[in-house]
Amino acid sequence: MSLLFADDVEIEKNIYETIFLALVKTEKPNVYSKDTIESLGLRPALFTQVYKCSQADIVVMTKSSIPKSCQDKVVVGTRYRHLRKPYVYGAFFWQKGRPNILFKRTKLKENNIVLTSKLIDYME
Amino acid sequence: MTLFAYDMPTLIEDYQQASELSLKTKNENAGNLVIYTRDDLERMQALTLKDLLKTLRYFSYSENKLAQGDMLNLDSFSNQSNGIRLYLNEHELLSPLYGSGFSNFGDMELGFIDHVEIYTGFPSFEFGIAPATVVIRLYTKTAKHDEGGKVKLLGGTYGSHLASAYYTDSFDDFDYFAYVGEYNNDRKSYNNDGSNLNRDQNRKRFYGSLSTENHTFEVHAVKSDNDAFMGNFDETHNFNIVDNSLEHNYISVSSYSEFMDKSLDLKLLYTSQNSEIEENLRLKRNTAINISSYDKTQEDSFTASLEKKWQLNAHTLSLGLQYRYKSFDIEDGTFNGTSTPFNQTFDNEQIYSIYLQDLYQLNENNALVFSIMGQSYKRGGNVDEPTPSQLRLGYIYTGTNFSAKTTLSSQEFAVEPYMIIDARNGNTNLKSERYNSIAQEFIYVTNATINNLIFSYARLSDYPLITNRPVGGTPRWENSDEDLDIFTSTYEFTYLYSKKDKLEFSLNYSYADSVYTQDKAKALSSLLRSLNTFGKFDIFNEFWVIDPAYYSSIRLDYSAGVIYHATQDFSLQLKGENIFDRAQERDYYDINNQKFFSMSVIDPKIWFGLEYLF
Repeated sequence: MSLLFADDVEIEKNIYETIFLALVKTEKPNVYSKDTIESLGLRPALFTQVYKCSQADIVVMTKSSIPKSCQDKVVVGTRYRHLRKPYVYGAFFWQKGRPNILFKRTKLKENNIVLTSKLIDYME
Repeated sequence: MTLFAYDMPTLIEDYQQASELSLKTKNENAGNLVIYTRDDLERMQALTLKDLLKTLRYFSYSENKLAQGDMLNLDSFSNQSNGIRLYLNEHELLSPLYGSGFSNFGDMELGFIDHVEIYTGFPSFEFGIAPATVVIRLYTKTAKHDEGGKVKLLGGTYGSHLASAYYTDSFDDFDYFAYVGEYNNDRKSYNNDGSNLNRDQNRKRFYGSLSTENHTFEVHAVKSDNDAFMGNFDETHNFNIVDNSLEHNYISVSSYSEFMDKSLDLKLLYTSQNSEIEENLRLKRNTAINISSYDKTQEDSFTASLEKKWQLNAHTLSLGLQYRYKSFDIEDGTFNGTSTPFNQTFDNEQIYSIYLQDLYQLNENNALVFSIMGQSYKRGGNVDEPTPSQLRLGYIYTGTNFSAKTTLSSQEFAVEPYMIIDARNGNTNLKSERYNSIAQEFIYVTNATINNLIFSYARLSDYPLITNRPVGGTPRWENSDEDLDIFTSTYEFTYLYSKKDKLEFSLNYSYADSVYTQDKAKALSSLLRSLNTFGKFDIFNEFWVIDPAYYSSIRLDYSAGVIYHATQDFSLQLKGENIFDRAQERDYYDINNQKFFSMSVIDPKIWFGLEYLF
């Protein structure tokens, strides 16, 4: 087991990949984030990073709100408070010193998204 | 890799751990670094900074005669830790009069601290503009990682207790953090030949921050009411200490802003603090004769720092400018109810600092770092205005498993105001202390181990010490006539034998000229620490053996603790410090009886309590 060479940024990318592919059916979805997220720029194999919101399937939200034109995308938050926004599907965030993932049941139901059994525990 | 090859709970657990460990391998260019991650601090149940510094390589935590932190001090009479600089996030915890704020913050509580970095040797200027031989950086928790709150309640031996709480959250694009805590550390008391020597501490602290992505505003306030232990009257013959007290109040307001894609930062810091010491003594021969004394000191400071970084091909250039204004007022004292005037030689100083640093990446594995700093001190009164300079040249090799760092440095430490204006021991003719050193560190990392081997050699010139020259004269600060040579070596080994189990070992040896006798002083110390997790239990064991250069015989400090996580958010904890009551002691000189006597630096103590996250 490689404990010291485990790369937190690489693992963060893997977590994002798992979330993205759980939320969209597109084979290699386009992902947009207004601010730089180091892990998203790390040679992603399972998604493509785009630099315009209009081209995105998924928007990763880093500020307290996103432009209206982006709100019809699949929006993933990075803070717990982002879950309060009606257009957010789920979030990957830190709370109480621990990393967390939470998907919004109502939002997934509205959009007919069914999570695999491995992710069902992360539904609010 | 197929889509859901990742097992999410494992991935999240690995992510949390890798985030912790990434701190361990960062800052290759900065200096010789010891880092305590959040996980270390929590599982070690580190209550105050003293819990970390007591096992530091080369130096270990010690105290002066007022029971304040004073780690570099070689005697118990003076305060000499101005080479240790502490930072809370981006701002220094300073004392305008003493330079370093170590005496007031050397054992501060860690309840609102996320992780601690300790740079031994002369680190890169980006980790502190003030000249230093040890830089301690404390990073507070943030809303980004800690949204929510925590309450901690502890009770301990001798009636000690700690109660603290923090809450952090965000609104719009603002993050806020607020911490309040009361730390009542009742300590082992001593009676020496009729004198009551008490060191109980009571400290109340508030820390608050408000931040956006590029701006942070912080307020930090502390109110301490402590026993003053031996007080200032060690040179008075034939008196017993009845009781004494030391009160310290501190507030700082600061801001940190980043501009130009975070390549430019501006730091502003204002601090204000006052100390009051009250001492009551009684004549030994006639217990009806009492003496009382009262002294008050007011210190204020303002610091503005601007730092800019440029990336020019293989060069990372940093330029820093700092202006610091410090004022200090030792007010007229009172002796037996009568005012005793104190005439200061100067009461403020302005320090202008500039540094330039070039990190030149020769290729993927090799880098050179060159740093130069100049300072100019402006002081009122007929006092020397020093212009000390600092030079640092480093070579860094970074391979996959093996790294090496070589650092050559030349430093000058301006004389701090307290050495000049002190009524009893001050000297207006003191020269700056000079410190030249070479340090070599080798780091070898495997999948589960970290090995560090460090050697350093330093020569101190014009070292300030309190002495009475000519013999029989009043003791006062003087520069040492002789240069002092110091050799240190350490081997550190960390073994992560599973995700949650860790073993740490260190062996440290130093060999130095003694400041007072010109003898060689040898010190040997060794650490064995294990951190384990079994189900809902975190177990901590620590052995620290020290054969100190000065004072005392071989000492053993065994500390251990257990945390029971009843739920993810609620835990009970039990910790024993210095369980065998054989930890490091400090010798103090009893002038009346002309003999040394020893008192513990680390008290034997049991703590029990709970933590609740919400």
